[in-house]
Amino acid sequence: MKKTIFTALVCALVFLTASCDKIEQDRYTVPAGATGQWFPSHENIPNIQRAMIEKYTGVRCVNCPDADEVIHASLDHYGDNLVAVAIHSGAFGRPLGSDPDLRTEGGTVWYETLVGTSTGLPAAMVNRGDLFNPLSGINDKVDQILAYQPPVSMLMSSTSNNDLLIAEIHIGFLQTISQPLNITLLLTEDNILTTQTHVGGDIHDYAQNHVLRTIFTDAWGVPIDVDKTEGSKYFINLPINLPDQCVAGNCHLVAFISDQESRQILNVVQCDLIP
Amino acid sequence: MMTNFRKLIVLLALAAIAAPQLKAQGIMGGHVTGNIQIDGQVSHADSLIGASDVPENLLSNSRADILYTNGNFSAGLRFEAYLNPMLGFNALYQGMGVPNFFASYQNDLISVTAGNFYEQFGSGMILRAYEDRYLGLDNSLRGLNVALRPFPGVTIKALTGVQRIYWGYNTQGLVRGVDGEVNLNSIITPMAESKFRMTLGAGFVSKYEPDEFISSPEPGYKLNLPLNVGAGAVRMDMNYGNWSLQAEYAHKGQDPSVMNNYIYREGEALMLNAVYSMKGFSANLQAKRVDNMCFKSARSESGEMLYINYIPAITKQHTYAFLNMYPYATQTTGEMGLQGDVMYKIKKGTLLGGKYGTDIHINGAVITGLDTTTIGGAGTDGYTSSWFKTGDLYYTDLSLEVAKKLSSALKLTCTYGYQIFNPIVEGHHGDLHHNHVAVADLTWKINKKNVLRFEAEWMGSDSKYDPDVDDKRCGDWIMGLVEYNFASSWFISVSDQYSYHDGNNANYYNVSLGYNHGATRLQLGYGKQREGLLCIGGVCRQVPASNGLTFSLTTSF
Repeated sequence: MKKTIFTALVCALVFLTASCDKIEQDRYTVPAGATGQWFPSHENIPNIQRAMIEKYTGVRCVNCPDADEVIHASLDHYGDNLVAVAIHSGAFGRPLGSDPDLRTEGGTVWYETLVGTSTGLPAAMVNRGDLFNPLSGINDKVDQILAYQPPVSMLMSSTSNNDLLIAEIHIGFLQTISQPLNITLLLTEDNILTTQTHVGGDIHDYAQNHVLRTIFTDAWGVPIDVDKTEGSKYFINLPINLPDQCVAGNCHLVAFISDQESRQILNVVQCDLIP
Repeated sequence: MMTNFRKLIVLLALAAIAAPQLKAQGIMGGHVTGNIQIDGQVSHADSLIGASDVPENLLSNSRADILYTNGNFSAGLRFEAYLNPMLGFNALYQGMGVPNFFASYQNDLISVTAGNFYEQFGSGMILRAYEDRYLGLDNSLRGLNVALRPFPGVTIKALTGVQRIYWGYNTQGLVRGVDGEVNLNSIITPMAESKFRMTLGAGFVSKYEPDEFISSPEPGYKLNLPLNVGAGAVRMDMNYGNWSLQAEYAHKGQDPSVMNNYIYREGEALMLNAVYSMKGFSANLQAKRVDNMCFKSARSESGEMLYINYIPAITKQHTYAFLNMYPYATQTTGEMGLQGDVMYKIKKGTLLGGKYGTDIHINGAVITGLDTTTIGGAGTDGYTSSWFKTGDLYYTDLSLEVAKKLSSALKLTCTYGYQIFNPIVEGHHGDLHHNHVAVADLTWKINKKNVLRFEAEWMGSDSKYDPDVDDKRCGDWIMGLVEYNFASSWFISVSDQYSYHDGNNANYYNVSLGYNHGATRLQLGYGKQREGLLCIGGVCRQVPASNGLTFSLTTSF
C-alpha cells in the first residue's frame, strides 16, 4: 500500500515537472492578430474592389472540371481582381483511392451552412451572394461587384520573422461602417494532382487549383474591433502554420472582410505565401 | 455602517460567551477552540503629519477563528469583517464574510486538508502560503493538501489549489506542488545514533494561467506567454555538534509578469545559513542571492497579493522604533545579502560581567542589488547578471546591543545602530540616508506586580525633509517612553517622537492603556502615527499617517 502511494506521488512529481513551458528566444513575441488586436497603419492601401468566387466542388463531381474551365477563363479575364477558392465538400469530395482528402474542417462548416448537403455540385457564390451553378453567369456577378466603390480597401503581404510566417493585412475604411465586420484568413493551394471523375471518364493526375487547405482564423473570421470611421487605417499580423502536406511554393493566402451578420464579403485580397 | 458594526460586536461577544460552554460540553465528542480579535480606529485630519479625515469616523478590522477538533478530524472557519478597512489596509477588503474554511483528517500515515490551507516548502522560496493579519496579507490556498509519511523520517506533500485575493479567489491561476523531505538518520540505520544529522528535501511548484494579451513593444506583436511556469528547489539541513548548516537553491522557469517588466529571464535564488552555538555564545552567518524570483499566480498582479513564494529576510527585525523607521523590504526581483549575528554572554563574576553577567548582541547586514547588464525590455531576456559581483548598495544595518542587569530590580539595555538606506528599495530615487541610532532602555521591577520601563531613543540622520518628496522620516529625532505595568494586569504608556532638526518638526505623541486577563487583552490608545512602512519578515505594508483613537480586543478560548 505504501509503495503504491509512493509510486503515485512520484508519478505526480513527474507530471508536475512536465508542467513548465519553455519559450524559445525567437518566439518570445508572436503576431498579435490571433487575439484580434489591430494597430494603426500608415501604408498606402490601393482603393480596389475585388471579388471572391467560392466554388464548392469535389473529386467525385463529374461536372466540376467543366466549371473549373469556366472559372479559369474568368480569372484570366479579371486578373488580380478576382480571387477563387475551391472548397472540396461533402460526399462529392470523398477522396478516390489513395488520393489525399481535400476536404477541410472550415470548408465543411461553410458547405453545410451556405450550400447544404442536399445541393448538387458544382455550386458557387460570388462575395457570398446567391448560390448559382458556375457553368455560366460568373462574369455578370463579378461585374456587379467590381462596379461598386469599395467600402473598405485591403492590402496583404506575407513575411517571415524568425522562420515564422506571418500575414500582414492592412485595411482602410473608405466610408464609415457601423455594422460589425469580421476578417477571415485562409490558405489555398494549386496543382494538387488527384484523380477526378468527369462525364467523359476519370481524369488521372488532374490538377486541382485554388483548393482551400485551411482557415487560419475562425471559419467565420475574427472581429475587426476598431473604430470604423472613414479614413481610418489599421493592420493586423496573423501567424501562419503551414499544414504538413502543403507545398509552400504552390500556396496563396486569401483574406476577406465580411459582414458579421449577413456574412457577405465586402472585399478580398490575395498574395503568394512565399514572397 | 455603525449598525453593522454593532451587530458585529454583539455577534463576536456572543461567540466569546458561548464558546467556553461549547468547549465544556463538547460537540459530538469533540471540542471547539478559537480566538477573536477586534481592532478599531478613529482618525482626524492633521496636515502636519499628513493624516486625513476618515469619513466613516470609525474603522475596524475584526476576525474570529473557530476550530472544531474531534480525534483525528478537525474543521475550522474564519469570519472576517472590515467595516471599513483600517487605514493602510486595501479598500478591497471592505465587507464581511467567511472567506476561509477547511476540513482536515490526519493519522500517522496521512493528513488531508480540503478547503483553505497554509503550507510551506523548505524556506518558502518556491511556495509559502501564509497570512499576516498586520500586513493585511492572506495568500492561503483553497484546494486539497495531502501529506504522507510512508516511512519514519520521510514526508511527502502534494497540493493543488487557487489563491485567495481579498474576498475572492484567483481561479484563473492554478497552483500545484509536490515536496519531499528525507531525514537520513531515520532511514539509514548506521546513521541513527550519529551526531551528524542530515535532512534533504526537494520541491516543485507549477502555476497555470490562461493566455492573455500583453502587447510587445514591436507593433503588431504580443508576448508569447508560458501558460505553465515551474519552480523547483533543493535543500539540505546538516547538524554536527554545535554546528549547523542550511542551504537551499531554487530555480524558476520563464515567468514574464508585471513584476519583472515581462522579461523571459529565468529566476534563481540561493540561501545559506551557518550557525555555531554553545552555552553563552552563538554566531550565525547568512548569505543569499536572489535573481528574478518573484512568483505570483497572476502575472498582471502588481500589489501585495497572490505571491506563491516568499524570499526570507536576512536583516534583523528590530524592536525599537527608530531602528525600525527604515525597514528593509525584500527585493524579489534581485538582491544579494550577507548577515552576521553574534550573541555573547559575559559570565557572572567577571570585570565586565559583574554580579549578573552581561549580554552582548552584535548584528550586521549588507544588502545590495545585482550587477546587471541590460539586454532589453518586455519580450526579451531582460538582463544578464554576474553571480558574484554586487550592484548598488540597498541597505546596511549594524547594531550593537548590550544588556546588563544592574541589580535584582534594574535592567539596562543600551543599543547603538548604524543604517544606510537606499530609497530605491521603496521605489524612489534619491541620496542614501545615513542614520545613527542610540537607545537606552531601563526596566525597574519595583515588585512582583509593578514594573516601570523607561526608553530613550535618538536618531541622527544626514537626510533632510523635502516637501516635494515628503518623506516624513527625514531629519534628526528624539523619543521618550514611559511604561508602567501595575497590578499584574494593567499597563499604561506615554511616548513622544519628535523630529527636532532637518525634519518637518512633527510631534508624534501616544498614550496607551491596556488590560490583560488570562487570554484576553484590551488596549486603548490615543495619539499620532507616522506614515511609513510596516515590514514583517521583509514583506511590507504602507501605513498612512493617522491621528486619533485606536483600540484592540483579543481573546481566545
